[in-house]
Amino acid sequence: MRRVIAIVVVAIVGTFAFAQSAPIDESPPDLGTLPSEVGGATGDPSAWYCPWVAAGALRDSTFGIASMLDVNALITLPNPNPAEEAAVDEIRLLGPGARSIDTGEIARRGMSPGTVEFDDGPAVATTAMWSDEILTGDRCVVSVPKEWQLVGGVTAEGFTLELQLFNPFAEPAKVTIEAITEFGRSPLSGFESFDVAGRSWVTEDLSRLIPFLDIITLTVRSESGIVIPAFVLNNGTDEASWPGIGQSSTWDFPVTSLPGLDPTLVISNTGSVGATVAIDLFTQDGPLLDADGRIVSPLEPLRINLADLGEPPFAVRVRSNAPIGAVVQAAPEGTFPKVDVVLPEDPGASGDDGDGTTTSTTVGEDASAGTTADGEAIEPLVYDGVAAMPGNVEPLERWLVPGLGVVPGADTLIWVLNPSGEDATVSIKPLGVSARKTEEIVVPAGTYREVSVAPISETGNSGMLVEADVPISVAVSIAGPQGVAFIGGVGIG
Amino acid sequence: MQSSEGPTPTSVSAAIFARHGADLPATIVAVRRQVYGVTRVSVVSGDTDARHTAKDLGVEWVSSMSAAIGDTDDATHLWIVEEGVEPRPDALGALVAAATRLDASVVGSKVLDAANPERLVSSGFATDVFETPYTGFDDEELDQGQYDVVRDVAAVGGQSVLIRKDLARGLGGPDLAMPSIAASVDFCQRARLRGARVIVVPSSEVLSSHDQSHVDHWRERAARIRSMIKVYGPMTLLWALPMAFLSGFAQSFLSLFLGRWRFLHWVRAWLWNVAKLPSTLKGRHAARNGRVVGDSELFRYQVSGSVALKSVVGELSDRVRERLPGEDRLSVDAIGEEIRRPSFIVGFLAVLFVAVATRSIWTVGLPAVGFSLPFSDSGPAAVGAYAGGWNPAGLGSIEALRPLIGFAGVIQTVLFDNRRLAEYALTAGSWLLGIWGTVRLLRTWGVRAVAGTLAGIVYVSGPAAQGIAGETAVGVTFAIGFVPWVMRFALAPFPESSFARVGRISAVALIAGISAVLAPLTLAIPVTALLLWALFNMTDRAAWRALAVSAVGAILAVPLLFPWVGAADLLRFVTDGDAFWAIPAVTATAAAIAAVGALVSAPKRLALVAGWGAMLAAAGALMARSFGFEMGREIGAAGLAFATLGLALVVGPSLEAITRTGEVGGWRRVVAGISVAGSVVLIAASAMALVGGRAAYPGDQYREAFTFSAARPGDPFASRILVVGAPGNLPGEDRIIDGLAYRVVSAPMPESWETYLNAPRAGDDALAEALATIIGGETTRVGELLASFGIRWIVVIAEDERDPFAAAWNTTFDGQLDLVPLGGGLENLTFEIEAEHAVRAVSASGAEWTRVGTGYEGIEEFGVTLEVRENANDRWGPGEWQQIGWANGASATAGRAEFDPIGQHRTQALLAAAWLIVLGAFSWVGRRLG
Repeated sequence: MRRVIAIVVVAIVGTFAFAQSAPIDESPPDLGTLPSEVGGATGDPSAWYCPWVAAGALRDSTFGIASMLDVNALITLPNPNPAEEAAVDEIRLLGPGARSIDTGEIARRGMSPGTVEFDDGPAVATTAMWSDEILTGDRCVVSVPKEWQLVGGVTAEGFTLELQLFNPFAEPAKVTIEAITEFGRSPLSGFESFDVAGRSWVTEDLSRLIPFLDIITLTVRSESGIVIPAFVLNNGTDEASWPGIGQSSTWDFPVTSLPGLDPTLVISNTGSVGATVAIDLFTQDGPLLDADGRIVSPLEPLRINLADLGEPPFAVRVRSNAPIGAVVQAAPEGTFPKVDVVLPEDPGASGDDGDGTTTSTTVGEDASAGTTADGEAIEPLVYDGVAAMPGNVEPLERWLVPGLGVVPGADTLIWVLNPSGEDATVSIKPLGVSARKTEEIVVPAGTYREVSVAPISETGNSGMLVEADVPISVAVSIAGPQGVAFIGGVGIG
Repeated sequence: MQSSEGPTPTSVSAAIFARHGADLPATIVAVRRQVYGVTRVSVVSGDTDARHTAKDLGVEWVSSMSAAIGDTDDATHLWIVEEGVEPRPDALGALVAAATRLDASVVGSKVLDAANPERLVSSGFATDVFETPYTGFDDEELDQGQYDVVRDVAAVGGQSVLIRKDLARGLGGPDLAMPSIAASVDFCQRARLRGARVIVVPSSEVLSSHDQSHVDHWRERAARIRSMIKVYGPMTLLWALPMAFLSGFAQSFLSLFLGRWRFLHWVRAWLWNVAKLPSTLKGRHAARNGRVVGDSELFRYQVSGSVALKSVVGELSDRVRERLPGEDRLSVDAIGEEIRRPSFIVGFLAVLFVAVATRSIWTVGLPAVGFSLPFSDSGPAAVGAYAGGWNPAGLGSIEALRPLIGFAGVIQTVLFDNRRLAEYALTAGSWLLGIWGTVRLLRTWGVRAVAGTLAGIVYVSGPAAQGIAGETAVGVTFAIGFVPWVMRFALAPFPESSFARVGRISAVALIAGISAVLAPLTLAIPVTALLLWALFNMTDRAAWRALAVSAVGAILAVPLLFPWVGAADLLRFVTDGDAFWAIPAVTATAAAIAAVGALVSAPKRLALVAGWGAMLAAAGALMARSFGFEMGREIGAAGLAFATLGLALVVGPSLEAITRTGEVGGWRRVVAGISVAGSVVLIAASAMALVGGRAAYPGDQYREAFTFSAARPGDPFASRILVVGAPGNLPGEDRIIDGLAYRVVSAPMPESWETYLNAPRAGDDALAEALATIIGGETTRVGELLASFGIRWIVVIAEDERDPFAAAWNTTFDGQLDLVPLGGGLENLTFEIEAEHAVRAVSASGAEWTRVGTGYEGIEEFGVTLEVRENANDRWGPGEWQQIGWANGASATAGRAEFDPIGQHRTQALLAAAWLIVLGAFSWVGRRLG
């Protein structure tokens, strides 16, 4: 009897034991830093990476910083010699405020890509660099995705294109770089698993590696570690630099050209399906929506001569039904090769040879001229140079704009685009040592306005806080005898 | 008889070393009839009878050998003869002749057995370096003149030895603290140091009736150690003493297989020497002062290796040879016959099984994986930490450590603070005890040794036991060795006398208490199992009595768990983690077949035991999978302990039943065979533990992950490591943030006292906040944030290359400016923090302190505050305590900072230790008087 009881008890308990189910494995959270926006500022401590800075015998540069709060900023310029310490400068910035720091005062040793760390925020950083012959600059990047897009490269005759890979971190980076050109995917020999030492940088001359290409998009993907890439384009008269970007379905370009320069737009689609793209133009008189529409196929980057869509200057918004990368570039007419023709050509309207692929480097001249109130003829203001800038991905109501008026002899303009359907009342507050009063302007719906900024030598101010009652988009242009530069704004909310 | 020719150039006085006097007359007569006359005969030492006998025979009595040597007679030599020794008439003459001719100072005789004069007892001897005498004879070797050569030897026996009297006086005579053989060796060694020649003269024969075979006695062992200390130079002692220690241990261990318990001899011998050290050092000074030769001269007469060890090994080999069946018996019948009786072979194989299955722990120590971490670096520190000290897990706390830490610390301290030895002793010891205990337990129901031993193997390393090891429940692994003993003591016939009954209950309490100290929940296993047994045998009074004994024992054992049991959060203890054991389907099926087969086919008593075992196994399996009832890891491990006990109780009867040919026949025999097949599968599954040699623990996962820190510049003990990964994949317990696991451990290697984390305190909250900041991407200087917690390294533990948790952490640490990834082929992604002062304790002037035990040491700085980065507690000192954020401020003046132990906990720990001793004493006394 007891044997039977034992068997029954064992069977029941054993079955019950087997019936118990195992704990469910939890899945990990999705962590990471892969934002498409690489220029946004937050209210937290942040680090801004500036890949293209140099200070030497010929070149000068500045780090422009601005903050809404009192912050400590730490500028670190890694030493190319790993045995030597990085050059470091710590700055106390009272907010809201802005300062411009001469790179040469920290270290004057040529190439000096650097990092700007803020212990609070919102705070932003930009750079500007100039010599007697060039002028360039852009905002630094704050987030560090594993995959970057570099859009708008060109290695046609007359251009020198360099790829700058800046690794500000201790971990050596291993990156794979792919190129997409007008011929589709182009192999980049030696860049399948490319090493960039920690706290160092590498500059590769793409003009030698993949010469005579009219349009190049690079995808820089980190296998380990992280790099901050930038394109540096030189056309013999000026230099333009712009950092890598993520992808977005909207890109705003408050500035596209300056007198004497024609704007071009480069769009790249690295996705797997074609992107339907619409281009809106915003003039000072009003918007020209859907001025152009395209389907941008994967692996087929486009260069669009915006001057063909309307008479510059104007601001531009690029809309797409799929994430794309977009960069605007400006240079004298004919500087960039025409790989894309939109409108039927007026045989008499262009000096091009008509085949659409010429790489003329003739500097255009502004034919317009005016007179003063006294009837004196005014020499038309025409710039010669090349500038490039990634767009802003979203309009915001507040923007911090540092690094203004710092280039000797150059004119600085703030460009404010109101892409919305309502008029924007924009207040522009100078940030710096002198407390000038806030300027207010109205930017009608669908238009843009440009605001001239006095040199820092006159005001002591090197930054602006731009606020509006509707979302706007802001950028900066610096233009002088040295050349021209476009610098994207940094929205802060 | 004295020489009528007056003093000669070699005049000899005889000293007869007496004991009880019974054999004195024969010795005195033999001495008196020597052809070479002696100037004087005296009886030395001995008891009252000896003194009376000497008086009766008209021989002078001298109180001590020193007095005999010191006598200022005109003899040049002293002939020492032991009581019971009868020298042949020409014995002294031969000694004197050889001494004169060869200029020897110590001359010994050949000793023959008085009962059988053909048998050699000694003819001088060599020694090993440990001073153990070695005659080179077989036990019954006959004297055929094969050693009849006058030769230099290491020593001669004390039965008959002629000594130059001035030398004896200079050496102070034999060491009276030593027994005779050791004293002889010691005297000869000291004589040789003075340049004296020690020879044996085989033509001088003496007959001895005194049995001197007790060279294995602890006094002889102790005396040999004393002699080594006296005669050897420092360099020799440096290696010879540790070797003597280990050799003694090995000899004691191997003696177990010969049925001799020698561990107490070994311990006693060394303790005796500790007590006698002052006099030994004095003797050493006398022996080495004025020496004319070095140790190398002593080595000339020594054999290599350990004579004692060789002797034991030789004896063991003989035993094995005797037990092995000869070629003519190597048949199924012979094997069957061997199985049917308690077998030395099976026991030996069981020991071999344990040795092989735990070999890795001997060589490496406990694997660092899961909840198995190496014992703490310092045994005394672990004991101190348990007894009211600082709990160093995580960022530290005052939470009571588990009793295992204190117990392991005691064992480690006893084993010369060698943690690996302690780990091995506890692991292998537990297995051996478990197998042995299972044999004894099953013997209660008539299960014989072979079946019991195989059941014991299933008990310690079967599927459920492997489950315990797989869960890295180290304490339970240790504790299961004691469980069968608790049950055996409870089930054994209850003694008649009150003393014995108290002793029995005390013994049950003692063993149950040790088991509970190792793993608290195992305290309930014998009681619960015996309750089930009693319910299963309702009318069996012995079963109910066993239950009562075990229950009382368990209650009496509870005080041993203080201070832990009084301070711990017991609910958290039983609910932390998940109780889930993935039952191996094959072995579960085999267990079911073995159990049902035994239930059906075995004789009634055995069937009931098998049924009881099956119920225990099933209930244990249910407990081990009870996470659905919110049961935690500890409950799961206890369930596995139930299950493995149940499996053993199934396998034993199953194997036993097949041997009962008279009781199990017909169809029952077929079923019994099927049951045995199931049992064999379980035994085969147990053999899996042999593969890794880690006592079924998983492979080491963390050792390489952390020990890199020891190779980094700076002091690794000064810093911590932040370990991150998947929940349940970190060393010991972990904390969770956003679904990811993390914890901090000590560098260079986390230790067992860090296994279980405290409830979060201020520092832990601050760390969680810092990690939230990091995960939120709100900082690019992780290092700066973490350095303030004493963290210098970050190790990302990945289960495999695609571990999503590790990948998530990797992403988190991307883009940090002050983290340097370490290369060098490290298995896990590892970062080093660049920030300054990433240490656990730093003074206000920036001096970094290092961890020693649970405290800190550093440069003494007067008037400077030391920041101790442990969770704030005002017992940290010295000096005035202040809270610095979540950490502590103390004075750096003393060069040491430590936690002032909690007095109440310390007192409780001491009382628990005292209670253990009381229980032990009652057990011993009860057993003796009963």
